[in-house]
Amino acid sequence: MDLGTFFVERIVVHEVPRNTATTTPEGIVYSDAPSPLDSELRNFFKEKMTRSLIRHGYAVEHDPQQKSPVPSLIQTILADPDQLVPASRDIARHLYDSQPPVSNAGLLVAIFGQLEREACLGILKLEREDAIRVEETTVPGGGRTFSVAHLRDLMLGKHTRLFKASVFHLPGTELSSLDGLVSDDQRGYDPTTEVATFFLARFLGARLRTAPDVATKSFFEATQGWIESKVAEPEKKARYEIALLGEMNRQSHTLSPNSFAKENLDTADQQGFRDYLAEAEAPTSTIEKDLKLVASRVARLSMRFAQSKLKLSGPPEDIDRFVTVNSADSDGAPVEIHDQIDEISGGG
Amino acid sequence: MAASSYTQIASAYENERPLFEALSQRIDGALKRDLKAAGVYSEISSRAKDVGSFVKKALREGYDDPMAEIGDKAGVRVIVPYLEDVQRVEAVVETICAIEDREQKLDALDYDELGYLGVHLQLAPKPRLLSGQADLGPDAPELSDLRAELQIHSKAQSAWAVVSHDLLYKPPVESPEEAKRAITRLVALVELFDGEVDRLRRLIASDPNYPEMAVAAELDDRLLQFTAHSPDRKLSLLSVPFLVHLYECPPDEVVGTHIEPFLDMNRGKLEAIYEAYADDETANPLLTQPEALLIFERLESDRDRLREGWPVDTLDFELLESMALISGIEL
Repeated sequence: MDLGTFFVERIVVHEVPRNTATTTPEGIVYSDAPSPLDSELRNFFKEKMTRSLIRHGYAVEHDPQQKSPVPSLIQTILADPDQLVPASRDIARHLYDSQPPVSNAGLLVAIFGQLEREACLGILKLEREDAIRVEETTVPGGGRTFSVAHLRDLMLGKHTRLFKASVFHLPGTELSSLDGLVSDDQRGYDPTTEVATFFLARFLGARLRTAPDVATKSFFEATQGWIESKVAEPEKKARYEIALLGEMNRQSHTLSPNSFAKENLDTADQQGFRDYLAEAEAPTSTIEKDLKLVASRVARLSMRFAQSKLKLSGPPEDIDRFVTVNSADSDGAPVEIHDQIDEISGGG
Repeated sequence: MAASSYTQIASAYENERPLFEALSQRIDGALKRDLKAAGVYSEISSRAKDVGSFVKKALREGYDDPMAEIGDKAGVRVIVPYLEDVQRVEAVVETICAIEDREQKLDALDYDELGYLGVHLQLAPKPRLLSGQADLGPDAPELSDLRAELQIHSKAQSAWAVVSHDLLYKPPVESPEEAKRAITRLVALVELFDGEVDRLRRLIASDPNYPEMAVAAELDDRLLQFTAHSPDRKLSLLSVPFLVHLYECPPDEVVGTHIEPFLDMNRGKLEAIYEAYADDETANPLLTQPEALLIFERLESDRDRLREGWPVDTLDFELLESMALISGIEL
């Protein structure tokens, strides 16, 4: 999905209160019309959404197991943009119904626009610790709408909470072709976390396009394939292999191929690496990390030396911590082990 | 020459004139296309000599065989800003026509003479000019036997040629000797003007940043396809040398080798971006600079070296981040 082709055309904002025992759906403040927009505001929301989605966006698709009406409402709006206001009211109502009591009150922002020259719909939930109050204005004819200029100022303010964002388009006619990106600037999508499950599954009626364990395996294998086939220098191979295993074993729910490249690969290698991943149809954007399918392969790292045939083996995190692999043109020894000898024994 | 033969010649030329018209139009069209592709700014006009002028020239010059001896029946004129562009035009002309005769008008003048300047070429169409054109029709084989005259002038030479023609030939009475001499004196200014312009251009080209900044100048034209904002050359100077050095080819090959294919692939996307930001006064200022095209292309092809080397001392990194966001690329 090329987010450079995402452009905002219309925005509708609804205020959604927290869903607790003391609140009712009557507390939702609906817009009667799209908010007034100019180029600056359109581009502000384009960039704000793009920033979130390219950094933390997960590829998602329709999940027929979910009962959410949102996919059908998205389909309705994409087929007839004039349905943006009424259909987004239903989306706001479903947000209220599906969110857990711990979810903050906030704003449901529905954005109709273009993505890859097709109609698309963005759905944002904006939250703040203190409930957001956005200026209401009256449209000609008497309906209510919200000032997105004021909303922008709130989003630029220091106390604005981050938000959950999503964008969908429908390359085909059936809901099965629904294609989207979903991000949560507050946290990654941990399937065990209620908040994330509510937004992705119960609210949006979507699921990750690729199961996390499959995506993780695909990234791991493609990266190993790239190191094996495209990296010539043995010391660099070792450095990258250590980095890969370090990344796999890092305590993090998510894995960003781009961040991995930036943090571990030489600048000249990064583009080739990304191109290789894309060609291998491995993930190139952030994925949920799940080691289930590669656990045994990331548990130990082995190195064999060229002349002596000596072998060094151990958990990747220990090798990362105690072993330094120097490049061929450095002054240091090719491999350094930074540790004290604890025990030596002979025998055959 | 008998009077009847003039009517015959007029009639013969009248019959063939559509072919000369077709030839001059083909050369005109091909040059407009190829000179633009070669980055040569030019004004091009063409015509087939009208029958009346043809007959008068035949009378005036007393040709034995006017059909064969009058060389400008198909005529094309190319005006370029600078004298040094003349050679570039000739190089492009040679790809579509064989140059059978070249006359540098200055060479025909003695050292103590002043007069009409410019280059005249006698052209024979090459197969490339006559092939691959859907509108060619059945006249193609005949066109290959025809000849055309091409005049190449600098702007200053052209201005003098037009003015002197108007003052010397159009007045209802013979121009006085003093007027003729004054017009002739003006051509000295044309020679001086073109000479000084060339010297200044060489002086500017000796600037250490010139090869890189010439890329920015070349990109002005491409940027015009998307936005009409005037670029700020001093702002370009802050990033263009760095950006051009990211390409592993000589600066003068950057646009043709990298930017043109990128624009061909991404034209629709770029048009949509520039349309979205056209009225946005808070938009990234780099967007309306020629270097925007270099940045967009490098974001696609080499974003890591772009990010690592960005001249943060002179240009806020936020500007690059914003360009990446606009093009939907994670920096």
